[in-house]
Amino acid sequence: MIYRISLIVIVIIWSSCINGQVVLDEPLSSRLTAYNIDARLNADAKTIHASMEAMWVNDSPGEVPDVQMHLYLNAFRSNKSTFYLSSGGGPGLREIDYGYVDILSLSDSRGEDLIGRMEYIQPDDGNEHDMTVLRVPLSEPVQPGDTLWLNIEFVSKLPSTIRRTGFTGNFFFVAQWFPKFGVYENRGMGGLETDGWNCHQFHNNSEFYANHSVYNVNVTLPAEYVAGSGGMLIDEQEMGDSLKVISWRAEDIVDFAWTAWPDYQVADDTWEHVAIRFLYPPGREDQVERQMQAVKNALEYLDERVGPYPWPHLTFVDPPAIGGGAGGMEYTTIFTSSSMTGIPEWIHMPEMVTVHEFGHAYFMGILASNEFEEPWVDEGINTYWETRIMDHYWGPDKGLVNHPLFWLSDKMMQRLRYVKSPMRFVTDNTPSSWEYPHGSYGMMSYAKAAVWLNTLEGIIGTPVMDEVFREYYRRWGFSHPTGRDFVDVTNEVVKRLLANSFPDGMDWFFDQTLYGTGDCDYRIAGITNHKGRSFRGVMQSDSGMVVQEVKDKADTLYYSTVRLERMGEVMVPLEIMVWFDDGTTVTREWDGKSRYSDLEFHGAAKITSARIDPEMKILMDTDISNNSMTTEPDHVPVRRSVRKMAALIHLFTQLLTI
Amino acid sequence: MKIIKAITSGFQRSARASKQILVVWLINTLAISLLIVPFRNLLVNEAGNSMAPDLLKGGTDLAYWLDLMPELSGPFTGFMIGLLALIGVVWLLGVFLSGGLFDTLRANSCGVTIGDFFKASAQLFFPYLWVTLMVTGLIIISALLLLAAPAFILQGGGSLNEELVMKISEILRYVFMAVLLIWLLVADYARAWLAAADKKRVFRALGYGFRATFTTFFTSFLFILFAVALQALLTWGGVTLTSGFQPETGGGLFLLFLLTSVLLILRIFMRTFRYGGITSLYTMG
Repeated sequence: MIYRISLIVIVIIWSSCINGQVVLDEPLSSRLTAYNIDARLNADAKTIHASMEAMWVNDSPGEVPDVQMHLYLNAFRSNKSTFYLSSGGGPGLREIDYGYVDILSLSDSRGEDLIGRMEYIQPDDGNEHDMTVLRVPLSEPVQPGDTLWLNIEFVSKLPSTIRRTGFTGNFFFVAQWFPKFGVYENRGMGGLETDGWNCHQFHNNSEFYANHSVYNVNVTLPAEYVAGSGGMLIDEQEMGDSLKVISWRAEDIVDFAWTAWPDYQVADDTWEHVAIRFLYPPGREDQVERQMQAVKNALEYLDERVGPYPWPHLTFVDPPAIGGGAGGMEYTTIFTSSSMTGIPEWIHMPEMVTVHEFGHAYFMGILASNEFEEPWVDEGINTYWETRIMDHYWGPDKGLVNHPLFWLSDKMMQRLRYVKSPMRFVTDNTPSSWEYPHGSYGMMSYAKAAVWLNTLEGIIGTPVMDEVFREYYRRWGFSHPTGRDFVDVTNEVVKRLLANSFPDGMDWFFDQTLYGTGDCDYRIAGITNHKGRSFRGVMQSDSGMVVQEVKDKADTLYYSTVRLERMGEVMVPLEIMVWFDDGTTVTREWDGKSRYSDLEFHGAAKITSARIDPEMKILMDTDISNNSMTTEPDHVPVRRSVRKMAALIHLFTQLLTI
Repeated sequence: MKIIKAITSGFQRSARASKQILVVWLINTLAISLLIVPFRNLLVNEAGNSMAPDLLKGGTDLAYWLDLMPELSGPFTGFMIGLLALIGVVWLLGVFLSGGLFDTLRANSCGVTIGDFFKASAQLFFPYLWVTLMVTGLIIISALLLLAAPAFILQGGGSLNEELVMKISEILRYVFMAVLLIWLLVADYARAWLAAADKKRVFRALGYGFRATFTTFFTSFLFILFAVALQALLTWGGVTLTSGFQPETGGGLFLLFLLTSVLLILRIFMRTFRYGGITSLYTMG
């Protein structure tokens, strides 16, 4: 009896610790999972020894007989893991190179030892060598509304080749390092017909999916290390033996990652309510201001157009060259950028990585979609916002490169990734991340989705697009939206705000883009200008048939035509701008459905030029060189480029002549 | 004083070789035109009646070229192969014509005819080729040791301090520039010796080059530093002007051609000045 009472007291105290508000005033999510972790980093052995209390609430209507957890680090256990079978190669040759999670003990809240019940399952590919998903049948099913408590002691060995996580020398980036619950999905979620665990294996081309959780993490590590994490710093104490303990707490985030390296430099700043910490290697002081500005720009832009960034803290990391493999990854309230000392300010790659990875705080952090099954919902949407932010703050047309003499927009770069890829037809945007064929994962889930989202914005307009995302955030923030949920929100908002233009919503668009594989390509096939004619012909008169000429004003007018053609399968509404030789312009609209259309004009001026989509709203048009035509081509720009090229080649050859 | 004499004499000698300098420029321009003119016509044809080249107005939107890249992949490949071949040809021409230049500068007279210039170029071609190849080899080895090695070390990982590696790299860049100047001095002295020698012995010339470089190191180094700095300044000026000038009309294009030509002629003049100064130092012993 005493045992039971004390157990209940412990559970209540622990539970209140987990559910208490330290970081945020109110819970943002339903917090179905929580983790209390005490970890110790062994910097020599590259291991983390940890004891963890983990909690999962069964909010489904049925009882759940088992639990499934991710053991991501087991991807680095052998060269036959699913991760390495798909990526090629292996963890390495030395013992220190391998990575794994070794569970030393596993028990439930009643102290029942579950270690003998553990089994590794391979729901995606049946690869028996893959040990990245753990299933534990429970002695008693978890009843609806009940909480499952697990006590786990484990050792995580970090891999030497950093693939998002691992170590190099004394640099550590510790991610996907603890046994982590899968997501128990209820019937109806994303069209599911039954309840069940969603717990995929770790693939080369996949990221993650998890519940919003509370984390209390204590890490013991050598005192000389500088560390950062996705949690808020609660305490940092020296504890003798050249060790220290850092305590972090994080609320309502989907993953907990941390990093430690003795050489980290620290820069702190704030944006409104958010304390920003930037960890970077010595010698990259020149990157601090631009990186801070990038993250503030992204915060401002997304906060205004999508929804508030709710956490009061944010940490981001620019890994040193030795830990470059950790660069460009996101864990909601901690993310990694990627830069180098001396990158010129006109190259915005470091800013682009920062903006992109920060954006994931929204698109999979707040809107926690399933990155395994629908990578476009986070990567595609996030890349779309990345292009908007980059081109907004660093200049339209100049978001990625902004040299006084040459430039490139981020939007255009993403477009080129898609339209110039020979793989753009191989599939639509619906496969799971590891099932994209022919290595098309990156191009399809990042670039193609970003391009058709930009096209959608071009069609419905920026204010309506922003409202789509605000509604998407309001409705699906801190839960698990699917691609279909995004489509439904879009349709609803478009029907509400653009009832006259698109009364049936935008399914016609998604069917061709998200769910379609066709090309979009329109062209101007020709421009004709014919002078009008006064009548001249044979007419009956009293003296028989005579040639007559009726002078009118017709011969002072032009009958002009712009011939339009749809070359691809995708049909979207377009604008066509036409220039006349008297300096006037006319803009016409075309629904873009038929294979061809002739725009006819009748007036005193003749057409000099015409351009389809003059504002480049239809970003997915695969060939923009055929979008325009002029009767007076200006070859000076091309000739100038070549003339300059010749001069530079000449100068270069002079340099080689000693 | 010797350095002032070398500078004055270098300018005088190269001014007297102005005809030859123009010939060098003309030959290089013709060689480059063989590649550039067909490429320009191809691009103009490709642009056709499209307004896409508007993206190049006021500067270069890289999207224009990147968009064209797949369509032009064949011609671009041909262009790149042609460019490599052109670089080789122009490099050989440089070796060939430097013989004529050194000979003209040694004569230090306006009376050297174009015929004499080419005759000396032909006579000195092979010895100059060997000297140039060997010194170029030394430059490449120095560059690999001093410039590329830190990058490899950094890429190799380990627990190296990135900041330290960057600082070492910066110091090594300056060391490389100093070493480069020394190799140029060796080459220039060797070629000045060859131009004057009856028997064109390459290794004796190189031996002389090393000896002359180090026996007159202070004067020679200061001179070549001055000469190369002027060359670098002109190259920088050339690149800046070429990149920054954005003519929008046919007349503007012609002006661009004139300006870049003048700059290139000046650039060749400065190289000739370097040769002239070293020839002068060689003559002074």
